[in-house]
Amino acid sequence: MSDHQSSSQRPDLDENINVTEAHANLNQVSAAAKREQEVLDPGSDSFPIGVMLVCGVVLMIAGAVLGKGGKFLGYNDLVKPDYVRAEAPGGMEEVATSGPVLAIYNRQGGKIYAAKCAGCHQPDGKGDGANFPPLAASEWVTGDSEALAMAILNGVKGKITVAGRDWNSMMPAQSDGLSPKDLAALMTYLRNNMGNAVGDVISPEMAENAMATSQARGGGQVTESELLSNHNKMISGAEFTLETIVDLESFEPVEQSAE
Amino acid sequence: MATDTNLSNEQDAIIRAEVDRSLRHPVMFFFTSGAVWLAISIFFGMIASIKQHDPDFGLLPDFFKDSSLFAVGRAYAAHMNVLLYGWGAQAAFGVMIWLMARLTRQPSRNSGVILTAGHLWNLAIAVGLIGICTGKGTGVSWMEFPTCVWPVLLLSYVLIAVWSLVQFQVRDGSRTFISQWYLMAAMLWFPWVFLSSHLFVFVFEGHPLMTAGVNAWFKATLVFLFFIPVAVGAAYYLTPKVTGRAIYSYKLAIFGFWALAVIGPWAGMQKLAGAPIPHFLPYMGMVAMILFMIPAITVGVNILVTMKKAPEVLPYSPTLRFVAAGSILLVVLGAIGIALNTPNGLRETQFSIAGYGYEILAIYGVFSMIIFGAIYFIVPRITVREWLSSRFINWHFWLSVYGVVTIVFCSIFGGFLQGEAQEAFDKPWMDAATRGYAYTLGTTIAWHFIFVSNLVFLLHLLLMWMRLGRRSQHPTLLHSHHAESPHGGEGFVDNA
Repeated sequence: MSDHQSSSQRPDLDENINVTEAHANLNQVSAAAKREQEVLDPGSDSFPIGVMLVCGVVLMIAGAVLGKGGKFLGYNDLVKPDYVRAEAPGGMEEVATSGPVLAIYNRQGGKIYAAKCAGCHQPDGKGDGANFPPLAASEWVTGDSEALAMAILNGVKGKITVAGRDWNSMMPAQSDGLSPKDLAALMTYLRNNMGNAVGDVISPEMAENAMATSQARGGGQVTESELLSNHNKMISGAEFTLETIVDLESFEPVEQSAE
Repeated sequence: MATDTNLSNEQDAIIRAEVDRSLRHPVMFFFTSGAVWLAISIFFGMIASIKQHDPDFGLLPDFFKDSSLFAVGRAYAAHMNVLLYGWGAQAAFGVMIWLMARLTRQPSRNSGVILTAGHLWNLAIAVGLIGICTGKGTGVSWMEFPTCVWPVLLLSYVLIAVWSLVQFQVRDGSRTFISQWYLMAAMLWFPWVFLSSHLFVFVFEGHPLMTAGVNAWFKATLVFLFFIPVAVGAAYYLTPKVTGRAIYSYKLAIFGFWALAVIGPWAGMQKLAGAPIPHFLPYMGMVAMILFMIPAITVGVNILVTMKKAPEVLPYSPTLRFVAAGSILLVVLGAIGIALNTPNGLRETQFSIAGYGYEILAIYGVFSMIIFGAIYFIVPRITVREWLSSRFINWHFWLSVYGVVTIVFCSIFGGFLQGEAQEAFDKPWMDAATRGYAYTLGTTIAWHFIFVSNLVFLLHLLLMWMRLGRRSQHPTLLHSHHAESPHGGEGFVDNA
């Protein structure tokens, strides 16, 4: 302890150091490098039994995992054909690929309504009472389907009478990114939800025809008078009854299998 | 090594000092810039972690919430890549070139080239980080830097490491020390893993599924064949050096080395379990991850038993304390590898936060802790100054240990809970996020600990870099026999 004491009082010197020699060495050797010990050759102790046991256990676990993999070398076992997930607890439900037309169209139409329309016409379709007219109980929505399609695809400008009141604001065209399927679903949704109950379905073919009509117009928003004079009719095309079963993907009717 | 030469201790010390002096600038450059990148990486890690559980967290400034530079996907990628290449690789290079020169007893003759290549490496990391943050990242995990970066990294790596290979080739005597096996292996494995993976992902037209497979293999082997061997090589040098005891068992050492060399390259593909790739690949990956316990426990036992033989040094040396923590965590890494990679464990955790916990344990808990120990050993030698404050070292150690243990606990345990909720696919997916919430929150808090810890470390290292360290004959030790200085006294232990 005593030499620690003295070295702490004179931190740069140890008592057993020859001062001249130390100074000579300090010029070329750092103190840290100087005080280092040499790395000895590794010991020759044999493999400890504990480590050997742990390694054995690890090998057994690894072997068990490998065993669970089954045969690796047979060609047929190399790739698991159609990897399927384990069944859900309680059994996997059969996934439906088709369903009644109104439910499927309403679901898709509702999504588009929320994304494109609800901002102005409000989620409940009642409008905001000041600038944006209601869609619920609107004669334009429940009336001639071609007029409705033109309003959606081209937007509306100028004065328009809706639900017994005059409105005067700009509606921009909504045709961007709208496929015939989407338009069919959206129109079906509008005509059968939010208090409207027309009870018909706009088919994708009808929507396609409406888009062609809109294309032929040559652009620009429609006005009330144009809607009343040129588009006061229903769109032509394949008609679906409310009982039609349609495919979830294509929105087209599926052949009912004879069950 | 003592028997290798007929030099007296005096002459030997002069050679050691020459080696240290020749490498002062490149090694200090790697350590200091690495520590800066580490702080940056942890900062990004904190942001990514906060955004994972509370994107609207009140204390997070609006700038970080709104700016696309810190979008969660970019912040996370920046965090991991800067951690790996900014900190991890650079710290590894510093330790590698210094150890190789010391062990072959040859001063570096190419420090200028190494230093230049080091600047090139840092420039590439900076470009890569900017690329990730501005949305130019590749989206391939751990390879997110824009594709122009990786050839530059590889080139600078070659310019940094090739001199050490030359030194090894022209060394005196044919005998090698354990550390040299690991360092040589890491030096050759790194370019193999790095080049082949990047070629298969970015250059060759391959099936995208196999690209994902190669990426998974890259992540595992970068850890097992580069970061772990460098850390183990350093531990095998530092432990006998500081304790003055011989490594416990040569047989264990050689067995552990070859076990790692044989097992390491198989790991990785378990990440693709269930994907339509040849069925045996994920199983080989699982088995390799489990078998990694064998080299891990071999190294851990060998290092820790050696340390236990020197109870008079163990409590005082900062180097030993960091290396001991890293060695214990290496065994923990092996054990967690088993838990995560049994078929049941893998199914539960494959898509959960557990994988992140494993990676952080490997890179921060094992690699970085041992490398911190090496830095505490090397820096006083190359700067010819002693560390300023044992209190700083203590803070660095404890905050790092608490932080990394918390992250690992939260990620692994939370990962199992999260995975269980994911598997219950008659329940809403939201359940998985809700269940993981407390654990991701814990991870954020732990990153704050680690951030503070590394700011202290960075400050300490910068002071040493400016050569403001203590001028003394005595090492800075963790405890002092005399309590006169608030920063700890000067030691009597021969080494530290």
